[in-house]
Amino acid sequence: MVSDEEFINRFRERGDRAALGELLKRHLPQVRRLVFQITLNDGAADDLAQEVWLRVVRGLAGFDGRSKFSTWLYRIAKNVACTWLERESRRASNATPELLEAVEATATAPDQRLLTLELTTEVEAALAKLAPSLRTALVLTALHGVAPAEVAAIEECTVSTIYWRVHTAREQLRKALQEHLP
Amino acid sequence: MTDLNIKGDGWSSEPPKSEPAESGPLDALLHTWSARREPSAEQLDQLQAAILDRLANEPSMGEAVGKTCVLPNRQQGPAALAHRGLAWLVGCAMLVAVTLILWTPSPVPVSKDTVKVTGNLPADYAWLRDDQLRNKSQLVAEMRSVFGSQLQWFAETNDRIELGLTKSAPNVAANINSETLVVRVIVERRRPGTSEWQVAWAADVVAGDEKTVQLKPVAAGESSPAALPSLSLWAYRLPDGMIFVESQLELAGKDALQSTSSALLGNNVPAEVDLLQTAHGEYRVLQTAALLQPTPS
Repeated sequence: MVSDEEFINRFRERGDRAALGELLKRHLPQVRRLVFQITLNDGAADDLAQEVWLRVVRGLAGFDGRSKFSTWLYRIAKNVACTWLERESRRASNATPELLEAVEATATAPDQRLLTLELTTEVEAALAKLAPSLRTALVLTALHGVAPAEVAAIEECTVSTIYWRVHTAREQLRKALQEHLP
Repeated sequence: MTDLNIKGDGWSSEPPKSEPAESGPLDALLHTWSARREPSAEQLDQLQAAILDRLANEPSMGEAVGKTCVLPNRQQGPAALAHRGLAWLVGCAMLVAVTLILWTPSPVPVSKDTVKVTGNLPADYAWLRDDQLRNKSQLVAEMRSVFGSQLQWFAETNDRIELGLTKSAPNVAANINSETLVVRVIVERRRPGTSEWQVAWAADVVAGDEKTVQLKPVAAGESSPAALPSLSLWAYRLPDGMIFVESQLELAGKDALQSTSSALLGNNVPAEVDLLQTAHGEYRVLQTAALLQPTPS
């Protein structure tokens, strides 16, 4: 399999746009998933994914390969998503209150054993209550399978801090979702 | 340099297995949620097309082209594996350097006589400053992230940190995470014919409420240029906020002494808990106890 670095070299050396397209095809699902999981806003996720790739292209000239491409890409995606969250919180139009209202309205849904639409909303509401740093650490490790050391590099903090964030995030989620956990 | 002593046979080179690589019901729930929120293949195709359209009109598309910097291919080759192997060996060597001492909990001897706490104003260093308390809270959080509920206590002396770990994870409510106290212990000496007190030894002990802390003595030359004392300490916070501290301390070497005390201390109010006269001079033991506030997430 052609490595990410090989695709980048092809693009940088020969302007091979097909190589860039392959890179995009390979990593777009993870990027789209991550920005959604951090922002919890489906409507914004597509625009943010586009923004991430614009930044990638703009930054490729300066990418020196000291970190893995995926680490660099995740860092850009995380920064784009967190910047959007900060902007939204300042505008006081965060989606969280709507989510919570939706949860309250459906809290008495009868069958909680299956992951119904209501439970999906509850999971999202519980995730929305986490601080962005906790949510980011959790989704990167638990849902994207990124190693704690790599998450620490993305977040520019110690590995211990990542362990602590994941631990705290799980504690808070377990508490919020205890009705749905054995 | 700071030595790290790990007490207890629950030591592992890896952090607790449950964090963050857990794969229990919570993670299963998260994975199911993630799968339900996944965009369809058609949506991703449309998004990819939209991105390529935008990139086609992006002026900086040409900026990266023509750069001669060739990136290393990260596919694993023998050299990369050899490098990793070397790093692994270095890591193992560092790990082996960590002192493993079996920790056996035992009750602290209780003094029959409660020592009178004097009202003398102690030196500045006897007080636990706000920044020191915050740092210790942060340290507790960091250690907790690594050792989980196995962490019972830790003690910082002049150049060492010693940890007290249980063999297996205890009840969460009873570990260091429940209510955490910090006790500063200072031994001061005053040589014959002098009036000034000087610090002979000091330690900060951080432990869960009612946890027995036991620092084993270390002879000079083993792993420290100076002999390390034996300290047993037990702290308990009363409902009114006062903190009861029992301790037994034994220093060796030129400041050899034995001190046993039981004292009721105000939150972060230093107090003299023992006063001793030896052939080497006069000694007093100061203690300061405070409740550690958990670090906000």
